[in-house]
Amino acid sequence: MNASLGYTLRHARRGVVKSLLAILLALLLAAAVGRLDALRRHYDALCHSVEVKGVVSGGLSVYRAEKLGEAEEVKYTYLEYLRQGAEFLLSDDSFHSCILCFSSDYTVNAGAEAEWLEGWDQERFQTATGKVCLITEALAAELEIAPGDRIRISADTYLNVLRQGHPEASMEELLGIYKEHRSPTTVVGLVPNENFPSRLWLPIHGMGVYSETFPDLKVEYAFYTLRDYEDIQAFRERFLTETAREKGNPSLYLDTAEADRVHRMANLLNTLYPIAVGIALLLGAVLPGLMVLQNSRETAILRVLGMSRKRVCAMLTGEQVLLCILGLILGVAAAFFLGAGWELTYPGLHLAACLIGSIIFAWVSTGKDLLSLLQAKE
Amino acid sequence: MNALTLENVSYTYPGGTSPVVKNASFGFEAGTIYAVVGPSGSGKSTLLSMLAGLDMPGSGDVILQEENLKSLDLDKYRREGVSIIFQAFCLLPLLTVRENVCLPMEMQGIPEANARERAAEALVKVGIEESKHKRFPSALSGGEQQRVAIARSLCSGAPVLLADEPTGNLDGENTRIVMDILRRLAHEEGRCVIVVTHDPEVAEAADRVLRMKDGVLTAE
Repeated sequence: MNASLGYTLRHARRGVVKSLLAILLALLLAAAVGRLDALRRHYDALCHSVEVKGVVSGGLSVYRAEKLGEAEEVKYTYLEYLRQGAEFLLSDDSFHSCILCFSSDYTVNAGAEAEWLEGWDQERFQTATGKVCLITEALAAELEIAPGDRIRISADTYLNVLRQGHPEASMEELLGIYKEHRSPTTVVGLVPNENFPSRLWLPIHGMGVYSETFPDLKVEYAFYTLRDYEDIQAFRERFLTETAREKGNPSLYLDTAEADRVHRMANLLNTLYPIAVGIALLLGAVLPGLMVLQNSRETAILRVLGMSRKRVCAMLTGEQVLLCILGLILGVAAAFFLGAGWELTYPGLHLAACLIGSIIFAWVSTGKDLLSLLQAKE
Repeated sequence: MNALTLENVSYTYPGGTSPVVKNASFGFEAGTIYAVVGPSGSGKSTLLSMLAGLDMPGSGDVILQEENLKSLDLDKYRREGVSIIFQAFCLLPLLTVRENVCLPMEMQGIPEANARERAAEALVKVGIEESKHKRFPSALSGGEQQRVAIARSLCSGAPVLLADEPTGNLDGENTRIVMDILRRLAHEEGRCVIVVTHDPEVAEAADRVLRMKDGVLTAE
């Protein structure tokens, strides 16, 4: 046993290039699979933790947005300050109290079929850019508005943006400035929604209206990224805390299209992950085995010197497993620093694959015709 | 008592129709050097394979001293009964000269210090100076590598030494050196040395010549 162990250790130590290759292989596979797994888990967590409704705003005011981070996978949402919007709206009798809803998925969020103005349909509403709106039948009756009428929406959403450019202006001055810039909005449909009689829907794409109407104002978007996932959680908690005081339980909403991309990415990663693991395990089994086969001549020498087939197999397997363990330790550490946790399922499977591959190839290698291997010139 | 005895040994390859070794019978004595000669395909390598315990005869018996190969553990037979020298030297490239020579003794469980001492003696005996004992085989000439292989066989303590074209890769001078060593092993240490060769010069250096032709072994 000492001779076998001594030979194995000497072989691993002196065959530096092959040993490093074996270690590197295990390291790279463990690190890559670990990183992929971490990414997959983050996307899964994201999909399950953020509410996606296709509505940007539950109501009132884009007062201030915060830039949280930048990365390749950028999604946007608007930070809604419902409390401030509601206070502003309700503090002035000249405003009719209603809730503005920005929607890219009208059917779901209105909860009813609209009666569209002739020539208008849902699809056009969804792709419009803020010059059209829908109102509830109750609100239309109260305000004596019919489809096709043009109204001027003096929403706090816009006024608050405008206020940023004119911090000292009075409300009357703000309204004056607003009327100069803001063109009327056409009512294109009525919604029979008795549960929410004071609602008015605007297309989600109306965000561009801000820069169109007030080019001197910079409207920032709130970005979040997967990389800043922890920040997103904190952001979401803060958002809920700050906005829940006056208005029920508003949530962080994602644009539907962007959320779909997150879901698609999560699905893709969940599909790719087992395939990647399968390929990695195959490589983890076959490549050490090929290294074992490369040593066929040395194996034959050991057999001719009288070492038993089982013992030679154990030596060959032991060397590969030893190198694999070293590589996996480094690979798991590398994956950890790349953002993965201490996930040991894959390294365990990789080690098992290496063990099985090495045993099979070692058995094949030791079963070859010894004489022909040894008679061949080096 | 013969060191190694063949009794009606025949061998047919799996799927083959006619035997490549036919009823070979011969007694190899200790202290003698034999040359087995014959054209390619005559069955020399197959015979060597059976003598070395790498293959079992299809029929007949190979007897080491008084023990039939069939009743022996083949690994132990190769470890302690016979030792083989190849044309291509077959040293382990990642072990030093001394480690190569020590390996068979380590496999027999001989303590490391003893093994080293015996390896050093064997290496000196075959003319490998001490300064080369810690080198790797690739740093030695072909003749030196073959002498290391002989030293390794020497240290195994096997009573039978098989050599498969041991001088095939060597020049004239090294051929003479190697054959001198093999003769000394036979005549001075009492080993039975069996050399398979094409080289008439090597055959001439043997005490007895055996000829293989179409699977038939004949003593001259």
